[in-house]
Amino acid sequence: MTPPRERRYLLGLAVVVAAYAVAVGPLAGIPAGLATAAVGYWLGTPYAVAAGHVLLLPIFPDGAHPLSVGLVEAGFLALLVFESPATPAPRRFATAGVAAAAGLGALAWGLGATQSVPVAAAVLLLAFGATVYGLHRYGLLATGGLTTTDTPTEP
Amino acid sequence: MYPTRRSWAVAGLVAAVAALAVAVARPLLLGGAAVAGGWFLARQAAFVRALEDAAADLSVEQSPTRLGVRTTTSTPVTLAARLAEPSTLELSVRAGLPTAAAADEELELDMEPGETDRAATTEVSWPTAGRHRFGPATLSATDGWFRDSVPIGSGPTVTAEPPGPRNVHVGEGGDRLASAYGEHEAGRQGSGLEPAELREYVPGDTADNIDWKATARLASPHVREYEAETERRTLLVADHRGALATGRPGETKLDYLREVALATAASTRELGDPLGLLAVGDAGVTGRIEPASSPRTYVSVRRRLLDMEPTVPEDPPSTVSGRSAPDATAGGAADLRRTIADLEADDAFSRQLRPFYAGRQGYRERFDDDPLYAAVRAAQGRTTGRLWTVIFTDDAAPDELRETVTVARESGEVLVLLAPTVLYEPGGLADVEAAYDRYVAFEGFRRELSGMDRVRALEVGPGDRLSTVLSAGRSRRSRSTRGEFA
Repeated sequence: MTPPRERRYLLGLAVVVAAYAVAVGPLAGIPAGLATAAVGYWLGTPYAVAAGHVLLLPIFPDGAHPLSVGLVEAGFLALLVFESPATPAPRRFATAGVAAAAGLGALAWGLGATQSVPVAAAVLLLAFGATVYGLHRYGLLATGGLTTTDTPTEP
Repeated sequence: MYPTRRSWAVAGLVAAVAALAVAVARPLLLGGAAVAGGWFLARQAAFVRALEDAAADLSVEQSPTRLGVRTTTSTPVTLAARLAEPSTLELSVRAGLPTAAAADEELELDMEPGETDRAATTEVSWPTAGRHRFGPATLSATDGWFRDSVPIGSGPTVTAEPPGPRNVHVGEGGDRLASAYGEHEAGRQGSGLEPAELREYVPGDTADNIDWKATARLASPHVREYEAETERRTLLVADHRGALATGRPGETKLDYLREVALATAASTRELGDPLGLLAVGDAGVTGRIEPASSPRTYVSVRRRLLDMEPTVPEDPPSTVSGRSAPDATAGGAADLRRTIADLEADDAFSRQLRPFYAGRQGYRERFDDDPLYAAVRAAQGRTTGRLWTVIFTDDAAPDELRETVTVARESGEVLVLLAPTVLYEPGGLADVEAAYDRYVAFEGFRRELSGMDRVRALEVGPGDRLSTVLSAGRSRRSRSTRGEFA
C-alpha cells in the first residue's frame, strides 16, 4: 500500500502529533502521536485512526475526558482534510469525510453514553453499512448504471 | 460500484475496531471506528463524484467503416474516446460489439489519469447474417479503492448480409423494371373497406348500399362504392436444376433467381395473397407447397427458397413434409406408351381412341421427360380457379420453357423470370462481341415469350455484366453508323 506522501499529508500527520501532545500531554502524547503518524505514513489514514485510538486505551485506562478525545478526533479530521487533495474529488472527500465521521462519531458517543457498548457498536456498524449501500445506489443512479440495453442482434 | 481489496480491508478494519471496543468494553474505540468509517464513506463519495464527472465529460464513438457488410468480409471498427476535462481516475473504455461479431482482438482502450484522447481500431468479422446493433460502450473506472462500469453513448447498427448477388437486375431488354413484382389492382368496385366513389342511385342498387349522409347532403339518393378486395393466388415455380449452378460462387443463376423469388414472396405476403411453391430439380419435383395465405405458408416458402441448392441429374427427388416427392416426371410418358400399346387391338373402342392418343404422342413423349414441364402440368391439373404462375428458370432449354409457359397460362397469367446464361458464365464476357450476340438471341427468346397472351418475361442477371454486354452492343452500332457515313 502506498499512502499519500504529499507535503499536505505530512502536515496533517504533524497536526495529529500536535493534537496528541495537547490532549494527552507531551510525555505520552508525542510518542503516541509519532507512532500514529508512522502508521498513517506507511499504511494510510484509516489505519492511523485505528492505531491512534488503540494507543489511547493505556493512556486513559479509566476513561478519557471529552475535551481530550475531542482534540484527538479533531486532529484526525484535520488529517482527513489534508489528505483530500490527493483524492479524485477533493472537496467532496473533505466535506463527506468530515460530515460522515462527525455523524457516526456523534452516534457512537450518544449510544455509548446511553446504551451498552455492544448495542452502540452494532448500531454504528449498521449505520455505516446502510450509508455505504445508499452511496452505492446513488452512484448507480447518477452514472446511469441502472439503464438496460436492448438485444443487440436481430435476425 | 465494487470495492477493491484495499477497500474491503478498511471496511474490515472498521468492524475490527468496533469489535475490539465491545471486547474491551471501551466506547472510546467506537470513535476510532466512526472516523475510519467516515474516511471510507468519503473515499466512496469522492469516487462517485469523479465517476459522474468522467461519464459526463466522456464522448465515445464506435465507428465501423461500413454499415452494410457481407458475412464473408471483415471491416475495421474504430473506438475513439475523448474527455472534455482530464479525469483523476484510471479509465478504460470497451466497445459494445454485438454478440455475433468476431473481433481479432478485444476492442478496448485505456486512459491514464490526465489523458483526454485515445482511439483504437480492430478488424471485426460478421459470421452471422442479420442486423447487429452495437451496444453502448462500457466505461470502467477505478481510483484504486473502488471500481465501477457504466454504459456510455450508443452504437451504430451493422447489417450483415449473406454472400450473394450484389447488383440484381430485373427488367426487359436491359431496362430495369420500375414496379415491384406482384403488385396488382382489381380495377373494379365491390365490397371492401376502401371508398372508391359516390354515385347517384340507379334502379337495381340495393338499399343497403345507399349512403344516407350523402343522400341527405345532395338531396337525391346516392350510393357509395368501395374498392373490391381481391386476392391473386400465386404459385412460384422455382427451377433449381444443375444448369442453374452456372456462375461464380454466390452469384449463380440460382442465387440471382432466389433473390427475385424471395422479393416476390415478400411482396405477395405484403399484399396478403395466397402463395405456393413448386420446386423442380433434375429428377422431378423436390418440394411443393400449395397456395395459401397463412403466415406459416409464407415462412415455409421463404425457408424452402433459402434452402434450395442446384441438383444434379442423378439426385433422386427429396422428401418434403413427410411425403415422398410427387411423380411429376415418372410414369407420365411410360403410361402413355403403355396405353397406346393397349390400343393395338382391332376393336371399335381402340379404333376410336387410337387417333386421339397418336396425335398427342409426340407432344407428351417430348415433354414428359422434362421435369419443369411435367411439374407445371401436374400443378395445373390440381389447380382449380385462376392462378398467377411465376416461373424462375434460365434459357438453357427454350423449347421446353415455351411449352411449359403454354401449359401454365391455361390457368391464368404467367410471369417468367429468365436468367440469361451468357451473363453468368465465368468466361462469358471474354469475347464481349460474341456475348452481345448471345444476349441478342436471348432477348429474342424473351420477347417471344412476352409476346404470348397473358405472359410476361423478364430477365434476371447481374447488372454490371449486363451493362458491359449492352455497351459492347452500343459500340458496335456506333461503329457501323460511322462506317455508313464514311
